Amino acid sequence: MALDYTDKVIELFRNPKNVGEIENPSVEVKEGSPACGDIIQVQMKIDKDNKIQDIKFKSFGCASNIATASMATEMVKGKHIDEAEKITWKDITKELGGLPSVKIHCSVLAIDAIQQAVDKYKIQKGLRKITKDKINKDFIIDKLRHVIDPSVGTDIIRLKEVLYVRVDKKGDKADVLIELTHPEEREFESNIKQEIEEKLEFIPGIGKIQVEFKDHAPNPKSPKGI
Amino acid sequence: MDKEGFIDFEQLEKELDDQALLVSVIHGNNEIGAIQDIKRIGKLCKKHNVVFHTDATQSFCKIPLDVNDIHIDMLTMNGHKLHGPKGIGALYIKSGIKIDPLYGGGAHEFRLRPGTHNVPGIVGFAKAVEIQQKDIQKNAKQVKELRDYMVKRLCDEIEECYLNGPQDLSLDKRLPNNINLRFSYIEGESLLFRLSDFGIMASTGSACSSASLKPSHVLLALGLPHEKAHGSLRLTLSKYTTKEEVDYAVEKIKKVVEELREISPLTKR
Repeated sequence: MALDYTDKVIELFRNPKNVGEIENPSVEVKEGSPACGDIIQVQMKIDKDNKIQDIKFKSFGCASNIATASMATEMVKGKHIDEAEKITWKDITKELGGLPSVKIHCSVLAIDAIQQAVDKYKIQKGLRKITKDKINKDFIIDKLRHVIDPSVGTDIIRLKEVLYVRVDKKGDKADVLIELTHPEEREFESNIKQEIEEKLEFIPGIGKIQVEFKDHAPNPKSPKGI
Repeated sequence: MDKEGFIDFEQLEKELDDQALLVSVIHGNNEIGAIQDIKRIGKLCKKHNVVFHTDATQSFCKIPLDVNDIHIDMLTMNGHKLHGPKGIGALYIKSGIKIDPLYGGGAHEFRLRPGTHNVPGIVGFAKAVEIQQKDIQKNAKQVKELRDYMVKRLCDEIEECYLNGPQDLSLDKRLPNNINLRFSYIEGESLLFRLSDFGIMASTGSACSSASLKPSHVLLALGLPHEKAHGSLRLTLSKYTTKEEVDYAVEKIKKVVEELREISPLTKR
């Protein structure tokens, strides 16, 4: 193969561990997008002591994506969710003996998925309280960092595609309005909208989510993305 | 260009205004095998008095091609696509067409390319052309038959397997040695990687095999969405390929596609 993978990466790609699905998982997340060539699904079974009893993944992705997911899931299996959440990309690439630099974006996905899964679980179980007052513009922006524009494979915050975020706390829940520029390829608008909703709708304090694509920013003083 | 990779003549004619200097069109596309109607392009260029260049590296010595029969001003060909040596190529220039050298430094090759001639390359290239030209019709027919057989088997035996590029497999529409398929729900680099374990060398239009995040521009130009372009596989046959090898490759591709679909989150259950 053209790319310079370590023996460890090749071995895990050929015989990945923890591939598959869990029946009735405690939590499930999907990260990435098929359009940018990488998508990963992570499912966890978490026991009453908040330890990861089982973890399984599925991947539409390249060799490094599969190898990283195999390594990452193996490293967090059996661990307490607080510990699992702290795992970093560096820890995993170190174990893998390094990755070609063009493959970094594929490998980050697995770690991201684990962190997102733990976060989602904590929020759903009330271990991480997201009350209405915690939901503000910065909170939403942080969540939007996990939404990828498939035409470029980069998140919409880094691409400055998000023009405006408004959090409206009139009732007992916070309604969210998000305005974005049209992505480079407009066919991806529905993908992006769906991903935004997936990242926000499970959060208890959030009410209505409105996503709109605009030509221009509503505030002429900040015509470029947030 | 259309969904199968053939150029749009209406568009081309529109582009040929008095500003146009040169038309350069690949004869047989390297990724999807589409063979452009260069006779018609040549006529159009002649009519509008525009220089016509064609890159025939993929088609040269694979399908018949005659610069006396077609209006071509310049034609590119090379050695390694016809079992000749690597690092040698040629440019046919019709008399009367004058071009500037890309770089200076010597008066070699009619002042067009400085540097000592690559004599072994030239001799090897010429020999390869001589051998290939002799049996061009026979080889084209033989390779095409094997290719058609392979396409049929793969598309019949693997669900959601599609042929990219021209659907018409005749010798004037698609290069006889080219196969470009796509498989839903899987990613090209993983596919290549596993196939190489079985000694099968192929290529993909997936972005994961390159430094950029964009999949093949050729496949995107056909109107394929990104996720479909990522699952593409290009296979190339030659006159040395046997039916046993094709059968072996088909079996392995079936196995690998199935395994990768097994671990893909996109596969429909």
